[in-house]
Amino acid sequence: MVEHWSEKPGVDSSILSLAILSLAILTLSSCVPQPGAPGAPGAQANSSNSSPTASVLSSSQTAKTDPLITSTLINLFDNLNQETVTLNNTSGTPLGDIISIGTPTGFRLRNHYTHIGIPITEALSLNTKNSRIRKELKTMARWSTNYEVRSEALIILANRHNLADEPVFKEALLYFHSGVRFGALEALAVWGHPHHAIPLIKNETDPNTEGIPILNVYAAGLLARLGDPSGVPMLRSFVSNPSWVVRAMAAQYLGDYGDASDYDRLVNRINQEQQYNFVVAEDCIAAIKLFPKKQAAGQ
Amino acid sequence: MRKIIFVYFLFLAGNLRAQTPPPASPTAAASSAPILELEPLIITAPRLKLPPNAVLDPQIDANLLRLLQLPNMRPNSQEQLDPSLTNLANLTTLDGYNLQTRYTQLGFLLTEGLAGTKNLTLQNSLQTIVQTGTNVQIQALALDALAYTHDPQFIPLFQSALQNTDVTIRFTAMEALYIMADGKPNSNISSIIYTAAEMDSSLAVKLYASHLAWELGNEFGRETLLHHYQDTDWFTRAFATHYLGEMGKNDVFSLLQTQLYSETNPSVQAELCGALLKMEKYSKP
Repeated sequence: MVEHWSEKPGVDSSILSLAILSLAILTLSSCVPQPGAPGAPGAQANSSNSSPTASVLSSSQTAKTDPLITSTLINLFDNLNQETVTLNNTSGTPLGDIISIGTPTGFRLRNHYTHIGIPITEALSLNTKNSRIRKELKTMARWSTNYEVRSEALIILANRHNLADEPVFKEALLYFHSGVRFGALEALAVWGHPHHAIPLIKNETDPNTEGIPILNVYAAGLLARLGDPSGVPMLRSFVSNPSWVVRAMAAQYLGDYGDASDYDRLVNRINQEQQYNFVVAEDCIAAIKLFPKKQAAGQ
Repeated sequence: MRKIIFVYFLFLAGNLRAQTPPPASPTAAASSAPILELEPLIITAPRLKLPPNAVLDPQIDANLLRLLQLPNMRPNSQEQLDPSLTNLANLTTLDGYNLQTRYTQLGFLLTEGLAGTKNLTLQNSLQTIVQTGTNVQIQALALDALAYTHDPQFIPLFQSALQNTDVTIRFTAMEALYIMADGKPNSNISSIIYTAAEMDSSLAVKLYASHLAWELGNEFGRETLLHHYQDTDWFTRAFATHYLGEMGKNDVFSLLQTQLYSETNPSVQAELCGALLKMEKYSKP
């Protein structure tokens, strides 16, 4: 395993580090803003830019959160494009054991520990009341050239449910990279303003535009999720798309939001999809989900 | 020297806590957490919502059984030709990663489709796969699927799988026992899991199982996690910290807060921050 970061906790570092750390801590404890003060220990570990700790201290803090948490998170998020977890030579290590586990939990843990953006985003999402973090998030959601940072920032921003953020999502929907557009769609689904979100999402469902098919079907699924009546009929049209991934996604969302008639629609497609194992599996799962609706409808 | 530095940090941390503004009110940070994934990569076991007299179209079980016999759980040569697979790889959010997994690892969908089946033919097939199968991933999904039946007749099967030489099977057997307990405190199952965890040769399995045992009421699980949150391996620290954050209270909060001052690995820093924010209601001195 090749790591881009130092391997052990920093207690073994030099006296100089201790002095820098002490200064940072004492600064925090006395609550005196010190622009330009040395960074937090976490910042020292990164090969990248200087720590934002000092500037964080000078910003308005929430009364609840340890300032070191805020400064560490902002620093991590700022430098996300320089942080990677490489998976060479993990055999026999605890990480190697986890990434070898081919079960749903194993997949989830692998995603969590091999994409550092995930734990950083999760932690940031718990601290959005901090004004400094809010400002950073908005900047990242608009200007970051790192696709992962930008798309994750959009989702966290949307969770603030602020109507004034609409232009940020509109901008992101026009971005060339599909990952950022996908993040913007996800953001609109959790934003909490469906009347504003639905027209924007609808624009992404048209397969005749230069859209990407998986974004089209994902957007249709979001419309169904938000209760827009156009969502389910669009999903039905995607069930015969040339792309098996799109057909599988459409089946998945129809299982969640379709009605009794979709049970037969999907069961009838199982035989036609015999060469596409993932679609067969999605059709079966969706039919199982829809069965209670079919039974309730007396069909 | 290390001890002096550590005591010094403890003193500074204590000093900091004493002077900072009043700690958080016990608002559950985790429960008010924003939605970061619309479609989490978890088994929802839709069969558990079927009415008792449900008669599904026979094609459904027949096809799931057919897929279970496939030698490979990855996209076949025909499926790999779809350009949408490449587009999936461009997605960078948690939901995006979940979709990539959903459409590159058939095992996830099969577990979802078979979980909790009451069809005796399917149950027998799954049991045979666990006992005599040769594909570890399919054996694991069979264990998971049987666990969702919550039928105690399968507990000996899971206990036997705890002795398997393959880490995936042991990991899944522990998880299967946890699923059997249905998330409720269960001293019998938690002690089976914890005993197996203590003897497991894989540290990752040991930590994961310790957290499961702790969730089911076994406090020894907590002690195992506390023993490893300062491990020399970054992943071990991150893993232990994550689960300490899920379940920890006042004493754990203080330990992790102190640890944040000395941690240098970004992944572990992120886990520490997340854990501390989840436990913020315990930040009172």
